[in-house]
Amino acid sequence: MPEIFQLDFMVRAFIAGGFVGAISPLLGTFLVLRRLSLIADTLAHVALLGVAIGLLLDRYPVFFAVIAAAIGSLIIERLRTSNRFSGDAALALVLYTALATAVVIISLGDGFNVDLFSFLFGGIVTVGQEDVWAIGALGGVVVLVVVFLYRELVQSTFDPDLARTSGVRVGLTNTLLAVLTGIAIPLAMRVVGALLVGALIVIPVLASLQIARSFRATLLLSSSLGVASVFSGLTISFYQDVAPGGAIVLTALGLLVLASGARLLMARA
Amino acid sequence: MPVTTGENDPALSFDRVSFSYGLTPAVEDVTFSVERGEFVAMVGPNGGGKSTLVKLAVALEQPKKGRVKIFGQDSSRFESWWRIGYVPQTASAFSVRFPASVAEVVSYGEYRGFNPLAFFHRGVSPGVREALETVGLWGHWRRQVSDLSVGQKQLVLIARALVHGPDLLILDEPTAGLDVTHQERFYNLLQEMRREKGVTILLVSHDVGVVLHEATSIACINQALVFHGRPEEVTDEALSQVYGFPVDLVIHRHD
Repeated sequence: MPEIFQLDFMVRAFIAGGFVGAISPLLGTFLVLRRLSLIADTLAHVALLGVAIGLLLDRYPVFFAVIAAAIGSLIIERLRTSNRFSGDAALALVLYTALATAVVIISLGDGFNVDLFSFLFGGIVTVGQEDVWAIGALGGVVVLVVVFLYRELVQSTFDPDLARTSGVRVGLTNTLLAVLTGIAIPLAMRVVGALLVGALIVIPVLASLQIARSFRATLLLSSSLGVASVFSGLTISFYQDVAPGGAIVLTALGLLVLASGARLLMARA
Repeated sequence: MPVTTGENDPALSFDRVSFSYGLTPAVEDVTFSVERGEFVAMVGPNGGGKSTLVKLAVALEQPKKGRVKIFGQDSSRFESWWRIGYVPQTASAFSVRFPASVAEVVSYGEYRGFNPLAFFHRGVSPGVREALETVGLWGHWRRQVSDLSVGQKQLVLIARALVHGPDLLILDEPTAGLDVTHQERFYNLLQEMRREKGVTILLVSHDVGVVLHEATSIACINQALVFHGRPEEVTDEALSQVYGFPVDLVIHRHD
């Protein structure tokens, strides 16, 4: 067995990273096509607020991060559909509110800056067994909902008005997507960190969109590219001793370049 | 379960309907009906409230005053969406590189409620093929919808509206991106559907000359309903009133 798989923390990193690599682009496909790519960054900052609360209370921070991000995603959805703010203004408003509150809470708590850093920059090699269970269970829920509500999600993404006139419950579907995104972001933060979480949600989707020929293929390919990015990035990180979050995102970018090249070749053929 | 409605109810009715966007009025006190089997064309200037009436007709908006009924049922409670075929001016997915084939998009019109196994469905249904053949796009069924021209994308939306065999077609400027050949083909198709299947049609158009020739009834809208009646009853005065400047009506009949 290779050295990398003889270490328990690396095995846990591969399992948790595999789940996150699969579900992040799965949701990202719907977000990118709705022009909501930056929602991940906003929710990462909201999740950071949850982490700060968890650390201050000395409780499991991922739990608080999931709750905060899920609530944040619902607030964004509400602001976005109320027509009071444009989509990007709603994202900015929620991001700065969460960040300012998180900074205040962090200043109140002493001595948890090191823990917080693992959420900012990713701490996949510090993922514990309870993280693996949480990521596995919540990741499974995300996959099941996307599969069961596939047609509703696709139709609402294609055109919300057309979907409504077909009988799709667009409001409910969008709320579910928002909550799922709120759940997925804190999980992805454990792998690549809050600063790069948006990259794992968006870049594999952009790569997949270069070559996939159907919506189903886009979902499956983006998910596969997400897993490939995480596995390759972790391996590079282990043997070259570089930060795993950065290595994963740079690998995903490499795959995007390859996919763009493949698209050019397909167009010429 | 959808409420069963009387067969004698109009396909669509606006009863003293008013609507505003914030403080800006869009439609004021509009009353008219679209009877079953009719082909009603709505004409009027830009910003005159035609598209707002279409949104009210498909329950995307609810009136501030008055009532909109679809097949005799209040639009806010209407659930039998398979009876309606709606063609908007465009779809939001057309502004991004949406990863779906032509056949895939047309199949969205076959939605009949929650189906947990829909993810695993593959292939092209006979209904999708027939709808694409009807609009002349069957030869393009595998192509990415984002690679099509504006006119072809419009034909995809029309096929999507036809795929489930609707009783009422509601079309918001459906021929805006179509060339003359496809426009003629499109109107022939509407007439065929009306004659052979009894489909009711509500269509918004800026092409007054064409719809005066094609429709069985004309509704002239400029926030209020200025005129509603048979095409031969439309006068220069009515059109001048609705457009706000003198209009001389010249109709070229091809039959």
